[in-house]
Amino acid sequence: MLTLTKKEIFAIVKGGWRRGITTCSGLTMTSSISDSCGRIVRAFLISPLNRKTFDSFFKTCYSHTLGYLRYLKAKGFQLPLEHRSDGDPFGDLAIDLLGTFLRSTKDKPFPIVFDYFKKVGISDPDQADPDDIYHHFTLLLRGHIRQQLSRLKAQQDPQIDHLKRRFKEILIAPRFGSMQGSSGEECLFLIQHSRNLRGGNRSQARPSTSKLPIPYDELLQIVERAYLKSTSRTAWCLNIFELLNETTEYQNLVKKHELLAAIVSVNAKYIDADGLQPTGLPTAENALLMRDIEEAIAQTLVWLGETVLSGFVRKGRINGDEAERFRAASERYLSDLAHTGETDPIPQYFREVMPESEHDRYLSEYKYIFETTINDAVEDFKERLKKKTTVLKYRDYFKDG
Amino acid sequence: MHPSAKELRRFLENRLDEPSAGRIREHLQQCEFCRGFCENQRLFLDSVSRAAEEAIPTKALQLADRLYKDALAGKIISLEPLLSEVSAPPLHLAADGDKEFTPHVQNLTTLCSESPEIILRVMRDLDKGQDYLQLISDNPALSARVMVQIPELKREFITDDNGQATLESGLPDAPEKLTWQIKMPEAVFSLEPLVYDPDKTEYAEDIILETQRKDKIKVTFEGKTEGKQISIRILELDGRTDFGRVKVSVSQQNVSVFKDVERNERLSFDLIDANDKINIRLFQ
Repeated sequence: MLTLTKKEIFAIVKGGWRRGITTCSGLTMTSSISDSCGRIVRAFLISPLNRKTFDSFFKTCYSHTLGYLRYLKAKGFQLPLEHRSDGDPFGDLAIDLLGTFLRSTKDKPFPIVFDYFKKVGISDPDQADPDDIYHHFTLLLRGHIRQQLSRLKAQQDPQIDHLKRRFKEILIAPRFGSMQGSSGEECLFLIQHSRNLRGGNRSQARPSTSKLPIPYDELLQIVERAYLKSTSRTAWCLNIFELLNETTEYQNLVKKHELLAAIVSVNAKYIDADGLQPTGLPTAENALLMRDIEEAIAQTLVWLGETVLSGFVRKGRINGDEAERFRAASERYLSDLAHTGETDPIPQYFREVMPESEHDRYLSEYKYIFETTINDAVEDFKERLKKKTTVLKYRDYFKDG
Repeated sequence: MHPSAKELRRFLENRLDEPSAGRIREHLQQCEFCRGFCENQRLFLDSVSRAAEEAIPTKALQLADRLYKDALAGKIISLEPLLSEVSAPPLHLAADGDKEFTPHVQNLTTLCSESPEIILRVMRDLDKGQDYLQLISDNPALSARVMVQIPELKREFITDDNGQATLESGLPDAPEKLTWQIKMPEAVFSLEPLVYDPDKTEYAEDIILETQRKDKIKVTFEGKTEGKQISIRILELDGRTDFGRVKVSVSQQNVSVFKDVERNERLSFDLIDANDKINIRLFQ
């Protein structure tokens, strides 16, 4: 069994003791990739500038990148592979991806790797379990690969898109109801609760029982609790609404985009073997961050209504009702962006807030106004977020996100 | 309650005891989440195992080399005295006769760095009465043409291709008490042999060299009747043009020039052999 502690590295320095460092080559499942590769990653974390540990780590990164790309391809994902006569398209793509993954800055060698391990609390790799190190390594590498692939293809993360679609299919089943919320957004509820709704459209909820919408961080907790007691996606969705109904201080209906964002987040934490990156933020800081994000979204929406949208209304390009619907679409878009880092294509938000009769007129009449609204909202939101103190602390973390 | 991802991974790698594995098998029969996780994880690990069997292409190895060198760029490596190293007295054999053994070199102190692995020996050549440094590493990038610094004495030395540097003036007593460090170059450029026309006696040619990190220099080759020369001007360092003073080392074979230059200042170097490569290193 391979061990490479600080003491052993020091022995190598002194030249009195030598030991080869194994790579993952030739390993089968039963010989435990996670243990062997975990030790290689650990040796690298302890001694990144040691050429032998670096080379072993690089080989591990290369085989995992290549393996993951082929895995994604086998799962049906479109990859930006360049088929050149002189090369291996998977190998070439793996090389491009590793070039960014292991890039060093002037002050810091391999910051992507070291910042991540620091963030997940592995500051003394000597003492850490190789199995845990390997788990975090694969999460980091696969998350990075997918982020880069999204960027190369200039589109959203295929896994998240796929996951959202699967849940949207479940949520259109007859047992789930849908209504427009107070600001035009689509809200979901369980049909069996429709007589006792505690909010949403005033015509369906009695004012005396109306409650506030559930804050996102509390929704996240409910979605997590529901996951822990479910063994299928359908059961998970049902349990979410049951728990929501039991939380009587809030509405028992939920904004669809927030529900999907929370599902993506919990999925990343427990289920996804494909490396959706968890935030890694401690809970208290996460809550502060959420608060900052919600505040920034609210401020942007006020600004949007008072400037961009009222400008379009003044010029007669849209009416007041359409301005309100565009504001709701902007809220959804910003919420998706902030909570999952991913958004649907812009026209999808248009279709969600506008009556079906208007959908065909998107290109001819609404495209410019709608996309200007969304783009201005995103720019304003980013500017506001940059000034928030909690976010400032994580500015490097969000820079590439 | 679902098994943890760690338990599932251990299950997939046959690293759980039978009762625990049995519980997981039972759970997997009824849980689509955990089943999906295991299927994906197994596919991924199979794919990685197959990829690990393949030889790494040259392009990937070249990338590894570049990434490693980029990580070292400009780095200061501290050296610590290597403690309790007791060297055995030299073995005196009968064949040596009665003649008393007199060493020609004396090891004044030995220092080392753990990461990366480097040993620095501070030596005294007793015959020449001169001190010198010897850097030892199994990776030549860490020992050849690097800068050894003693900050409190404001002294700097560039090692040669063998990792040696001569100390023109001696060291104070107890050199192990000094702070020793190695400064890696910010940028390294290598010029391949020049192609020149022997019939032309006077000519000049400019070449711009740039690293991936955006260090940029202009090299001017000049052929004159009295010999061939290059002059170097630094244009950018790490993408910046406001880089202040830079120490430049130019070497060919075992001859080198080491000089502080300002932006826009040129450093000239007389070529030893137009058919041999030239190594240029920038330190800051």
